[in-house]
Formats: sequence, C-alpha cells, structure tokens
Amino acid sequence: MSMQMKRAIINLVIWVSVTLLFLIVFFSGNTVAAWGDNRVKIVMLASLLGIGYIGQLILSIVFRKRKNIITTDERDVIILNKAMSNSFIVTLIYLFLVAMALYLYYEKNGFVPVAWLWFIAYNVVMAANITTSGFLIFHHHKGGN
Amino acid sequence: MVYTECTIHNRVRTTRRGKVDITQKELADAVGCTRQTIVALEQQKYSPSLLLAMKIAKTLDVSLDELFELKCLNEQ
Repeated sequence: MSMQMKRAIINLVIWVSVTLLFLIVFFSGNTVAAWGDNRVKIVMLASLLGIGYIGQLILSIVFRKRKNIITTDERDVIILNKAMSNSFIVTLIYLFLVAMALYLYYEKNGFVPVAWLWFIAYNVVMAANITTSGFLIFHHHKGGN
Repeated sequence: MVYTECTIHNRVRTTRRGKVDITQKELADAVGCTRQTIVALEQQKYSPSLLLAMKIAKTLDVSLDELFELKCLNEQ
C-alpha cells in the first residue's frame, strides 16, 4: 500500500468521524432555532472543525518527506489530480443541493436561519475532505493500489 | 484519417525477472519511483511518463521499443 493511500485512509477516517460528531451535535436539540443563544454548541461545532484540521496537521508531520525515501512519484501526482477534480465536482453538486433544499424549505418564510449558513460553511470543508480522500482511495485501488 | 484507440503494453516484469533479475523495490529505487508504481506498471494498469519509461529502459538495459509496445484496437 502506497504512503498516499495510507494517508488518504487515515484522513478519511478523521473527517468521517468529525462529520458524524458534527451532525450529531448539530441535529441534537433545537440548534437551528436557538443558534445565537447556545454558545457552548457553537464552540463545540467550531472545535470539531479544529480537531479535523489538527488531525490533518499531525498526518502531514507523520507523512513528511524523508531523505532517501521515495514516498510519492508521478503516479501519485496524477491520482491526486484526478481525485481533486472529482472531489471539486461532487462538492459543488453537494453545495448546490443543500442550498436548493434550504431555499425550497424556507421559501415561504422569506429567510433562512443563520445556523444553516454555518452548517453549510462547516460541512463544505468536511465534504471536500471526505470526497478527496474517498476518490484518492478509489483511484489508487483502480490503478494498481 | 481514422482515430484508433491505442494502449501501451509493457514487458517490464519479464525483462526485470529475466535479463537483470532485480526486485520491484530495487527497480523502483533505481528509477526514483514507488514500488506501487512498478506493481501498477507490471499489471498494465499505468502508462508511465516518457521520463520514467526511459529511466526504466536504461536500468533494465533494453531499448524503449523492446520494453514498450503500442497496441491499437484494429491492428492484427
């Protein structure tokens, strides 16, 4: 298994865990209605995003380039480019669908609660990381591991 | 002019095992790529860049023509 594949698997595990925790915290209680009054929950959600980024930082330290050891090559770069372009499209579609769903749901009200804007902001980061890691694993698997 | 779909077929595995008899790791280290790339090459799942192909040919002491072959769909 290549270093890039190992890193992608760990990155996927980190961001799937962060996303699941985020969704559990966000959808517990009346987060949307009482967004401004619940500072603890806001800090918790922001911390989860921070945990994801700290995980990524630790990964980049663990998988840093070492002397005389070839960790990535031209094939890894090609696979990364493919994964990034696939992820870009999927993330945009996800963003579009969430925005449209919110618009349709709140069309009669005339406004969308600010909690959903934070939800989209956090969730796009998570979706981008999950899809990039997922596509990296897929393309590595397809192209000889 | 008719467009024909072509793929690159390589004989890296047979040349590596036969002529110079080195491991995938040794070949990878010699040409500066990962062992996984050599695995993918030998499984015909990856077409290398011209630079990598020339490095492999040089390491295995064969010409590019001997190592790589262009196979097109409508060719016999």
